[in-house]
Parts: sequence; structure tokens; C-alpha cells
Amino acid sequence: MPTKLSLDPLRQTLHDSQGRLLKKLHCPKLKSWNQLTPGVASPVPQKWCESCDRAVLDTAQMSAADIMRRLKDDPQTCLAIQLDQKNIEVKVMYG
Amino acid sequence: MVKPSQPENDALRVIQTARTVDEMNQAARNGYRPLVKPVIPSAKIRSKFAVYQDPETGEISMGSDYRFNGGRVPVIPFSWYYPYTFPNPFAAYLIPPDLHVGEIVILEDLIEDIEGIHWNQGDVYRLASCEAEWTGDDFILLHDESKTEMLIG
Repeated sequence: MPTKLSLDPLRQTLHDSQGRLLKKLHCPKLKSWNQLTPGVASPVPQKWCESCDRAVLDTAQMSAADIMRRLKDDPQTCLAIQLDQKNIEVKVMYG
Repeated sequence: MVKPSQPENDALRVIQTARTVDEMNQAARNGYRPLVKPVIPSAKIRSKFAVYQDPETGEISMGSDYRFNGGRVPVIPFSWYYPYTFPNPFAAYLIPPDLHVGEIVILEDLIEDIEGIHWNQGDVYRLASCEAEWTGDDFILLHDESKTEMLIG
């Protein structure tokens, strides 16, 4: 069974299938997807953030394993996530 | 990936929010002016939850997403509620003494309940942060609803 990620929309945190925190989604520049600059073709759809000089990955077409691998390689990896994505469960992490 | 050639310079000052009296008074002693505002929950902001209980073990699990109930039978079916809590019914933006009229800033922890992310399952979450313009007395919130279609970070 493939690994599934969970997104807590209240805390804006991404978790693995065990509920472990992978990343806090916080953009200090308050950027939106539309404000980012399209880049050249890439295996993973992405845009470029001019403010931070970094790529922002569109996670909709990525596997959970790929997202986790990217975050393991670089915990500061910037992600873009929509709540209705099929590959991520929206789940408030209640105590 | 090709980088754009002209990175924009958008280094806005960040205005912090105090949520407790101690934080407000400490800031005042440090030269900031607490701009106190009531914390008023918006009826438009809501989240849903369901509670499931394993019939054999009695253990509890929660759900927030209609798509992933896994065939479980809820002991509390999906129900709507206001999902945020704050330490006090008031809070304050901490205004630095050199903030000038017309300056655009980032309100890091928004006091006002503004609709942020909308989910097509009916959930509406509050906007956490927002750009704003200082008028000398208050902030004009510069919120663009089209900016909240995706979580970025």
C-alpha cells in the first residue's frame, strides 16, 4: 500500500503516514502560485520564487515517496499544495 | 530550472502580534505601541470533523476529509465547528515607533478573521498572515482572495 501524506490545514503542517511532522508550510513573503514565475519543463511541475530564489514544487502530481525524498534531501524545499489533491488527505491533527 | 533575471525586492517589515497582556505590556515597555483589537470569530470560517470508534478495541480516530473514511462508521458524523482558539478575546499589533503612514507591512499573525483557504468540501480556514498599509491609526488589510487557492511554503 503506498505511503499517504496528511495535511493539517489549521496548523498548515504536512505529515507522513505515521503522523510525524514533515514540514510546516509557511511562506514569509506570502506568495501565491500566480505570483511565481513559470520555469522550464521539469519532471516535477514547479515555479520559481523570485523573492527567495528557489523553486516551489507543485505536489499534485508527485508521489508521497517523492515528496518525502525531496524534503529529506532539503528540508527547506518549498511546496505548493491544494486541499483537493488526490495524493494528500486533509486531516486535522487533534491531540 | 531557469531563474528569472530580475529578482524583486520585497523586504517588508513584519509586524508582530501580542496575544497576552504580558506580551503587550512587555512590548509597550520596549517602545512599541500595542494596537489593541477584539478577537471576533467569523461565522464564515469553519472546519468539519468526524469521530470513529473501533467496535472491538474502543479506540478513537478522527476524520476531516470526506474522501478518506475507510468504510469506518462514525460515532459522531461529520459536524461543523469553529476550529481556532486564542488565549484572550483581544490581541494587539505591536506598532514600532518609526512606522510611517503609508508603509506596507506584513501582519504576521492576523487578528481579524479573514477568509483564507477555501476547500471544495465546504471548509473555510482563516488567513494567517496578510500585507497591510499603515494609516497612522490602523491598518488597511491588503488581502487578495485569489492568493489563497494553494498553500505555499
